[in-house]
Amino acid sequence: MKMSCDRISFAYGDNSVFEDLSVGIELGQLTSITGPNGIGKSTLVKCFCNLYKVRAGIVYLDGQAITTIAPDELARTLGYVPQKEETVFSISVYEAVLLGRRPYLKWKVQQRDQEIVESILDRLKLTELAERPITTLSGGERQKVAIARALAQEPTILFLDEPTSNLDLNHQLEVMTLLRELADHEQRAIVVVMHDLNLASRFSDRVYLLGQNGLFAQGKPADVFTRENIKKIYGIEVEIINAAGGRYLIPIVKTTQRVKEIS
Amino acid sequence: MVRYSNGLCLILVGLFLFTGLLAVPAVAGGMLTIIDYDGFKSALDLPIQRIVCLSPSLNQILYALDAGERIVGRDSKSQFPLEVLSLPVVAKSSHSPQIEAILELKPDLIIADTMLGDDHRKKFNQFNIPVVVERPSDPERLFQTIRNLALLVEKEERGEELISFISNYEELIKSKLVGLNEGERPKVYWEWNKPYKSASAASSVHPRINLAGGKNICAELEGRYPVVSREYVWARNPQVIILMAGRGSSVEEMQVVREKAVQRTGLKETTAVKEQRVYVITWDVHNGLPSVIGSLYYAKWFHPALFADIEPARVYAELLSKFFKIKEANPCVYPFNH
Amino acid sequence: MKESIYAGLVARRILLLVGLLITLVLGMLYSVTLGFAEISIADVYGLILQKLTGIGDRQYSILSAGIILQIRLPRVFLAIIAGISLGTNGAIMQSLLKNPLASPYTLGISSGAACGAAVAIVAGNSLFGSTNMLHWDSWLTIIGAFAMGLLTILLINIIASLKKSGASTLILAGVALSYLFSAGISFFKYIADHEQLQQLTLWLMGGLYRAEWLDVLLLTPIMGLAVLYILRRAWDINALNAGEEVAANLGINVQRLRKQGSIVAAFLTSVVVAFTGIIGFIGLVAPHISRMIVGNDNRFLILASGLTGGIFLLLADTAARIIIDPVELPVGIITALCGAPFFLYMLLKRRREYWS
Repeated sequence: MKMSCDRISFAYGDNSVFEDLSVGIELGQLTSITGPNGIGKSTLVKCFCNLYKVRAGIVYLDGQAITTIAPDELARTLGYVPQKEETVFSISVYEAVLLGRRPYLKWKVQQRDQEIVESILDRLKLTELAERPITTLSGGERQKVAIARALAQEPTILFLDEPTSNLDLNHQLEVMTLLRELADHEQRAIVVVMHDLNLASRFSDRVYLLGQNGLFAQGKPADVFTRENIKKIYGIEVEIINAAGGRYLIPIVKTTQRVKEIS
Repeated sequence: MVRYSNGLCLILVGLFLFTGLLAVPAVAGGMLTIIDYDGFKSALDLPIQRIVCLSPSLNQILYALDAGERIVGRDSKSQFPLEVLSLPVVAKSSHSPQIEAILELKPDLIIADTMLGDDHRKKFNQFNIPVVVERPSDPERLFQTIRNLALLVEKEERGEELISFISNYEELIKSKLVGLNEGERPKVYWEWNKPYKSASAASSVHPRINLAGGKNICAELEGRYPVVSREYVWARNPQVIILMAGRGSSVEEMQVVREKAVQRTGLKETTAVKEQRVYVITWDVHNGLPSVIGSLYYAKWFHPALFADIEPARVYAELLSKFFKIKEANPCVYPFNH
Repeated sequence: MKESIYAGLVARRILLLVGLLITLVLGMLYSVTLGFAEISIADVYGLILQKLTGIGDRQYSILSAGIILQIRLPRVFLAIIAGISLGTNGAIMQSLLKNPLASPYTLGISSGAACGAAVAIVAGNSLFGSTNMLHWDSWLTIIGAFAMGLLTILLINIIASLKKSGASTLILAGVALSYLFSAGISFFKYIADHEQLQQLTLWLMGGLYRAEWLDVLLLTPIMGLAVLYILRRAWDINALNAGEEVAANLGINVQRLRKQGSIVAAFLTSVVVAFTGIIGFIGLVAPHISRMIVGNDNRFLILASGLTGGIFLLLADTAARIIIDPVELPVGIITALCGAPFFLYMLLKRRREYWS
């Protein structure tokens, strides 16, 4: 299975977000989408999930345009974890994860659904919290619940919008390790919108760097996150350091002056 | 306040009864001092030529007093007699007069019912327009109302004629019912405005039911016009049911009111429905001058044998032809053949 | 041990639903024994049992039989059915709009429906004549109520989608709409003639004192179908609670769900309003009590909210008819007396969660 978008454009009203964008996603890989704020990373992910309708171009899933795929079928293939969830009426962790089984359910929850939910809870170390209302959880715990729900959909491709943005260091690593595992051992495609370039660089197989005119660079993290590229896109100077088996970008100047020069 | 005014009225009535028509005590040299239902005293210059009258019943009395041509403005509900329709409407009712429209008519006097607010009265008084308020729906006050209006338009003789017409028939009812046993009074359920809205002893219809020899099953209840449960009416099992219909209702409309009522769950098993003693009557013959017609119908419905010789419709026709010069009376009850 | 999490969760909720159902039935059994006519409890149940099973040959008086079978029972049933409709309706509207303060009453849909009925009565009288209207008024009022109720709910939906400023905006919009509609009703009252005014006042007062089996017969299938539809969508509504995008990712057509749900809610509100007049607070209080006891899974919440609404209206109506028996109090007074303090309590106690 393969997913890609072919020369898609999207605009909010008259404000074009990107045009003629083509991006491919491979199974067994963790793909990061990076770029400055407001450049359209989240929008791109939503276009992939058919949450937004593209202005032009086509999003393909296994060679089929996603707009022609039945919603339940799509829901069983693509999982989506939004940046922030706004739950008004609190439900238990178990119920929140069970929601991911919606595409498979008629009315009654089958034995199999329960087993899947329970194994996911187990895997994400959420079993202890199963009966807790989700409004009483910490940010990290809620993020894990959201990922657990998406996993309960048994998706082949999982999209996550900034899954580490509200998490502490420990939870960041925990979540990224989990995503890595999903790609490596279960041959799923994991697509992550990321701001932290170091985290992206450490865990991704492939990164897309978006700029003002759409896709700016793509490829392995080491090829994309170069001093030149970062300067062009973010307008800052970075020092690249190899340490502890990883490659790290260290910003070295104030950003404000440079942004002015560029604009 | 009310009691005080009633006291004064009683004195006035007493004076009239005592001195007869020869003496007009409150009138002095083209000036008339009158105390109205609310107890307000007004001094008026006679003769009064331009009257704005904001009550259907009071307009009716003015016409009956032969003073219709002095009315220059009316409320929207005044529809009888037909001549009144040509007058400009200057209020929806006494409750809501259009002050500027009334002032433009330059009236000598405004006559209204008790729905008129005190601030409206004050406003008119500021423009030196006297206001007289009466309550024609109160049966106890009817004769006093006729007398007061008669004084205002200087038609005392005609007023007494009216009063004697009415009181003759009221006396007739009383005389036929003398010695009536409590057991001979039929149980009456009276309803108006909406299903199961009835009237207690505090209401103005209760005395009429009594006068006509009936027993109001809702007399003991809380409030003036209580809404009662269906179960209550059914369990009390009225022998006569009276339903009110709007002014000017057609026979068809009254028919529908009756049909709908007799099919109602709470009513259809009652003796009144089984014995077909369910009657519809319009407000036209319920308030003011023609209220005696309503009383006659009530009495006839309650005691058909005793009142076999009385034809309320004929009395109504007589009233209309005598005081309004109207030949034909609209039907005001249903069914009309008892 | 592992599988007991879900099984335990469900078992507890089913138990609570059964508890509510039993309360409702007990309330019903108690309510039919109350009233002006003195009929012994043994007679009441004996009569109902005899009627149900056809066994037994005791003769009951026409009066007792009539009062029980034709007055008290239809009224009790209408209270329950209307209560279930209002309770269910409140739950679905809160969930669809993701607003804990939503209900047909607070959003102005009840007054919208009432205004529609007022239009229908006044316009109907002048179009078809008052004689025809006396026969057909109930149907015309239902149509009028539904049209305006639907219009209001669509307006509310537009406001909800335009402004993402939390619960308060929507409720304030509801208050504004309510004022607008009461002004409309006052206007129609003002221009109505005597007959129309009579029908209008009768209708606006609300209450169940005219309940007939026919009303129960008409309202039950409508209520049943609506509840069935809502229950079928329970999972979708659950998903909506996690956010529109999550719901869409779970395969739900959010727009269609909202649209259909709104039409069902408006229809249910209007039909209930057309039969019973405006009865406030049930659609607000019942869902919240239910959320507290069975949680927010709509598969259980909708049923629980319906049952709670049924119990609430049944008790309120029973109180309305026995407090100064045989004089009828408007049932809205009772529901407001119980519901308004609850509403305030919710605003003050839980404002952090709700007024986001």
